[in-house]
Amino acid sequence: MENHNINLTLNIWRQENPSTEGRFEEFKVSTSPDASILEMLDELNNTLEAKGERPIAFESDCREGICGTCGVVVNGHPHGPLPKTATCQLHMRTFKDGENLYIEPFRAKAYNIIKDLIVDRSPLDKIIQSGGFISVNTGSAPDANIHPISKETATIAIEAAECIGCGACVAACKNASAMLFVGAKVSQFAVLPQGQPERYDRVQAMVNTMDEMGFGSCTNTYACEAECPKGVSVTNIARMNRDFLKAKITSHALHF
Amino acid sequence: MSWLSRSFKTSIGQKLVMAITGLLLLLFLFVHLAGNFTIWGGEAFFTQYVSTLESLGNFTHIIEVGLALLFIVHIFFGLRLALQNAEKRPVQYKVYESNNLIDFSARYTWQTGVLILVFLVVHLITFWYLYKFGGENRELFEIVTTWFANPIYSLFYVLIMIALGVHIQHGFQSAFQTLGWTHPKYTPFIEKLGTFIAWLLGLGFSLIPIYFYFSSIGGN
Repeated sequence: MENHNINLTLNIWRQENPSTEGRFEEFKVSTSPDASILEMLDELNNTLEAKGERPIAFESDCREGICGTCGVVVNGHPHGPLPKTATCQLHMRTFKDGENLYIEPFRAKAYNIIKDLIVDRSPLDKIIQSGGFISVNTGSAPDANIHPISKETATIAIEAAECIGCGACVAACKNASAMLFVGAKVSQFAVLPQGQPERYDRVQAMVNTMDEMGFGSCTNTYACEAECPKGVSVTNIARMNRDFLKAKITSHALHF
Repeated sequence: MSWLSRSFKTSIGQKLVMAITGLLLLLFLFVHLAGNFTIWGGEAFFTQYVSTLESLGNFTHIIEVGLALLFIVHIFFGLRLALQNAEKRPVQYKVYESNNLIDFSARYTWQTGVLILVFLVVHLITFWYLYKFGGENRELFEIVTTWFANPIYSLFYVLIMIALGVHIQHGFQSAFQTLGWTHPKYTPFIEKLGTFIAWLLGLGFSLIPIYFYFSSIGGN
């Protein structure tokens, strides 16, 4: 088979553990344009291991762009320069032969680097634990269509629920704010009947946890929406703001 | 009322303060611009406007105190938010492109805010303080025309008014977003209205220094 490989210079962030200083390490690779960036890193790791060197640590799971596990910053863009594309769906044909790539972890005060390109995104889980759920009764399964929901409402909820929780919004935001993530997770329940009982407690609890975890606040630059691999809309942030304000004015829960 | 103080410490609570004070300050700017435009009616008309404001006595003073509070709260919360946000990414990216995807005006909101703050101080000293406490008993019209004959002073004014336009271009739609007032029907209109207001105020306030500078070098 003819060799169409492209040659790239990779500058990859290497960091042993959360407490050590990191640095960029340079690698020269020749890779197929059809490889995803993760497959290219797999190949590079094979070569490193064959030489007895430590492979580059990075995260991935489904490699289908739906799980939100992968996520690195490529040339200044979380999930790379292609819009609405997760890292695993970013193919090397996006880059030109001879190009220099900078591959960095998601950077934020709230995300500790565990190793190389792997960061600890558990603060996002903490936000979900504080309110990103609905209560349901146990017993036999309820009828699927017991609550009539209009097409428009269902679309809003599903578009918010498209958020895969990868945390790229935080990585993109100049304030490392998680408001697109929280906005989506608040919205997906706020517009549906099943989300109503906890609606106003939810938004206050999740915003409080978001602040505690060390995320920044939103300055409405909308870099998050531009970089989101799922194109989650910033109108979800507005909905969260609206519910937060309504909760502050009308909610009887004085402990928030 | 501990729920209230806790609420104002949250990220969204602080942003709500920015949005509400920002929109109120915008209202003030409209009144200020309308007042400024009495200068196009000539010296006598402008002086009459100034003395009308002064004849209101305590009413004007109450408005002034309210206005000062609005400015102080907007500036205090704005600077505090900017400082809080600045520490949210302790290790910076080697390459950071996400910010280049956003609107120009959104990139420099606190920076244009600081420029406007510097202007506010200069503006108050050179007009308000000089007129009220300068002890020279000069008419405001004369103070205005004397200052604007100075090219550096006029250029400073015009540059800051551009910064003000940029600040409003981002701030207006941003306030509605923070208040949660977005809707597929109204948001495009709000964005266009914000751009219109930014141009209106930026150009409107700039016209006066430009006119009086050029009339000072061109005779009448």
